[in-house]
Amino acid sequence: MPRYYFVFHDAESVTIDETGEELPTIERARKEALRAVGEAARDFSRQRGAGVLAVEVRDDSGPILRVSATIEITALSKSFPEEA
Amino acid sequence: VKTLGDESAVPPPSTGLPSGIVSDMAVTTMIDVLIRKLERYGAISGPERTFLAQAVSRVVEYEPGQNIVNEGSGPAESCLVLDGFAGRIKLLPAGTRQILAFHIPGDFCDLHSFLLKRMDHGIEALSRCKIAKVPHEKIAEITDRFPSLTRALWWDTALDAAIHREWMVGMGRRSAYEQIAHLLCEMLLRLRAVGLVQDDSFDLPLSQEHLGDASGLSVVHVNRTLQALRRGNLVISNGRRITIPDLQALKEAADFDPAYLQMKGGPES
Repeated sequence: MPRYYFVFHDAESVTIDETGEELPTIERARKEALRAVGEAARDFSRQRGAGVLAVEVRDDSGPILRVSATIEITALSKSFPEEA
Repeated sequence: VKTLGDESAVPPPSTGLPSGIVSDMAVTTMIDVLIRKLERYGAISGPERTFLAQAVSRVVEYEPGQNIVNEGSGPAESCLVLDGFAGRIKLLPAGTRQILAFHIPGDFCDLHSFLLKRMDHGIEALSRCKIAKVPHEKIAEITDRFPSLTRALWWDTALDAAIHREWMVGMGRRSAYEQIAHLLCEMLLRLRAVGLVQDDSFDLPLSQEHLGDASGLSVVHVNRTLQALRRGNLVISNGRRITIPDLQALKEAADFDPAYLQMKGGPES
C-alpha cells in the first residue's frame, strides 16, 4: 500500500508527519485529509475567531493535494465590534 | 502501524505465563490483579478469592487484531484481561469502527454478557493479550453464594459505565487536545492502580489508529494532537513507552477530575 504523509498548516505552525500512513488509495488519503481539516476547524472555533487551516497530502515523491478551510467572520452590523 | 512515539515500537516483554489449562496456583496469582481492583470497592474474603480462582476455566492468548468475542454472539463465558490491552469495538457498515473501551489487566471486558446474552459489540485484542475465561454458570454461582463479591462485580460494571460517560463527554464536548490528554491521564491512573506504572512511565501498546478509533478523531488529527502534547512537554513517548513528566499539568490541560475512576483513597488519588 502506498504511504501518505499529512502535513498540517495553521497560522502559527506547521506540523510535519514523519511516519505517514499506509492507505489503499489516494481517495482514502483525500477523505482522511478532509476529516482532519474538519476536526481541526471544530477545535479551532473554540480558541480563535478566524483563519486558515490546511492539510497537505504528500507521498514519497512530493505533494499531491491540499485540503483547506477558511473561517471568516464578517460584521454585518455596526453594533458588532470589528476586532472581537 | 503508527505507534504513539517517534520511534518504532519495541516488542512486548514476555510474561512467561502458560497458555491453556493452568494450575490453581498460577491462576490464584494471575487473578491477583482482579482482586486488587475489586478491593477498591471492598475487601474480598479468602473463600471469595478461592472461588474466583477456581472459576477460571482456561487462559487463552490472542494476537493483536484477533477477535476475542464476536459482535452478535451469545457468549457462555466472560473474559478477564490478565495481560495486554483489549478493546470493546463497534463496527460500522462503511468499514470504520468505534472503540468503546480500553480494557487493561484486571478488567472484565464483558461481564455484562452474563446478563445481556447477545453481544451488541465485539471484543478485540488490541495488543497481545492473555485472557482468563470465566464460565457464566460460575458467575451465576457467585450471585447465589457470595453477595459481597456480587456487589464488587456489580461495582466493576458500574465503573465501566462511568468511564463510558466520561468518554462521551470527551467526544461530545472536549477539544482533541483535551480529549487525548484526558485519555492519557485516565490510562496512567488505571494502569497505576494495577501496578503497571513505573515512576511516571507506562507501556501503552496502542497505535495512533487505536487512539483515533477510541476518540472519534482521524489519525492525522491524533498525530497532530500528540505532537502538540509533546511540544508542551506534557507527554514524552518512545515507541509504546509513555512518560508523563508532570501529571498535574496534564490534568489541568485535560480538565481531568479523577473522581469517576473511583480510586481507593478518594478523588485525589
